[in-house]
Amino acid sequence: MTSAEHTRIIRTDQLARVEGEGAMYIRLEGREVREVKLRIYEPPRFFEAFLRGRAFTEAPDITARICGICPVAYQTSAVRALEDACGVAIDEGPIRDLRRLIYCGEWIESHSLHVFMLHAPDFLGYPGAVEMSRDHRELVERGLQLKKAGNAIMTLVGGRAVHPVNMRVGGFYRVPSRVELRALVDPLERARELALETVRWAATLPFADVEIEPEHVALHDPAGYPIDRGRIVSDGGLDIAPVEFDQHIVEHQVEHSNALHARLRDRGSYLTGPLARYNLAGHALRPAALAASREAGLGPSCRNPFQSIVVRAVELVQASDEALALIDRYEEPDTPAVEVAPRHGVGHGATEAPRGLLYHRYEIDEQGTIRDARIVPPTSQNQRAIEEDLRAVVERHIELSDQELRFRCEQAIRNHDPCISCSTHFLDLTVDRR
Amino acid sequence: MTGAVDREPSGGVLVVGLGNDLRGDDAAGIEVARRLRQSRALPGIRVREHQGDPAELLELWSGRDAAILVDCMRSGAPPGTIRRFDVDRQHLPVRRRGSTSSHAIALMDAIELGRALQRLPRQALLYAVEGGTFDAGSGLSPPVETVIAELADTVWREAIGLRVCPQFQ
Repeated sequence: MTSAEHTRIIRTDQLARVEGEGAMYIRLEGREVREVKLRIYEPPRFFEAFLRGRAFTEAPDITARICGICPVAYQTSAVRALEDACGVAIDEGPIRDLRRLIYCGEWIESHSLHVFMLHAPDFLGYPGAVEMSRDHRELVERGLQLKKAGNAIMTLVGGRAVHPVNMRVGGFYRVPSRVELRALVDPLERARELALETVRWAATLPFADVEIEPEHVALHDPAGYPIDRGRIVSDGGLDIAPVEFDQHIVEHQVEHSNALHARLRDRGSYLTGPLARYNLAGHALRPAALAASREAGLGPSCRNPFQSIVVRAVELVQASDEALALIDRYEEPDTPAVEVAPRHGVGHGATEAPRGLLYHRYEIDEQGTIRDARIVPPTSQNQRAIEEDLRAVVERHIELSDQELRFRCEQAIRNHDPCISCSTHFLDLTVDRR
Repeated sequence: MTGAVDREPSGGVLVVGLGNDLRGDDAAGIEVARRLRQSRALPGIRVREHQGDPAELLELWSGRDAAILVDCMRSGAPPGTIRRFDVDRQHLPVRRRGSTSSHAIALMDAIELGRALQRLPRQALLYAVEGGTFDAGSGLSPPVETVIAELADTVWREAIGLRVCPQFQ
């Protein structure tokens, strides 16, 4: 066999249906997988540098611009970290409820986009949602209806559906009245029904029988399914407060990516996101979501990334059901925000973005000027686990043609709903066989 | 803060300026919409700015008789070049990826999704102006700034033409 025959290069220069732009390179020599690189070459965006010298009150609006899909995650992690720096914690009451409500809206927006527009075509055999919609119009319309419900929450509570402008350190600029929130009840009840249908539909999809190894990391909130606060826990025994993040999670630069790779110190790669949340906090799902997960055949644990579409559907039930509960108990607060006076200090905030853990740390001075900022998005944290998952996919399907293998690899990446824009936008895919 | 449900009347002509007003020339569509909203008004023509997810466009233009979209493009033409596309009749000649758009899904996907779901207005046009710079916070580049007034005039004349189109009377 010549060297050329022994080498396989499989390359997709522009991977579709992921948020942002990156590349993947896989090189095989014979049956050996020599190299797997998720290459994020979207230019760095320097948001952490932009934040230095700005008023602490500006951080929610600046960081919201990092991502069009999960701005609420950025805003919530930012306000929690800055409130922490100022000795304030908003852990109960209507302001916290409104934060959870708008976060539910973001989960609904993001998950419905991923489940129906980005992920479903992989299972139904279409290159994209447009082609799929010609044969599965009802399915796509369901996704759009669900997304509309999420947008409605974002618009009402956040001021607009994308890059909301109403959240601030200490609370909101304006809070909705009970009557205004009641307008969301009908669309959300419909969304909950559509989400339940989505779980039932997703459970019928064909799934490759695979499990992945990395440690799962998610927030733990004793009061319920984690969204906006909590300790950082793992199925490997990690149990830390957000203030301890730096002691246990390290980021390092790799030559092939503009996004830093994160790993657990002395342990290695880990995975955050829907699978991790489900495995670590599935018991805390609301009854409707838990029942739906069982009906879909999910046990207490799910480590098959292909089944993440079912877990996202379960989280769509969770988010719409919780949003309804939050609206039901809502009483308009006396003031839309609590006073947060700046002081010199460092604060930490960790929340569950739709695609995983999002950590912020800020150092501010006594005037409230940001001296240092650190933001660790979920896709940065998941990069190494995604590469390991890709390696396993290639090893398992090495007999496939280059074209089939490339499709499998693309699917494996989309299972994790990476947001490349967050982590630093393009995804090229190259598989090199020698 | 706006209401949760878009209660705008259906029918008529919808003009949508698309883009991101913090990303240089990507603000061109937004700027056209702002100028039209400030200076022009006619029954049956609604002008909207849209900085968000193109999937929402499906909701915005569903039930309209006609839609005119205004956005920024990057085709390699000189900055400030204006092009018109009948998107109700033709596919956009664009690559699927690789734009500087910060929109969650591409405008092209929203148009094609609308076509597949039969939710594209009977007449749908896109006016696109070639951008030169997309840097954060940079504002419109001189070549684009120069053609914005002309583009706004052109879009408005087109909207009036669609509004008086006999099939919509």
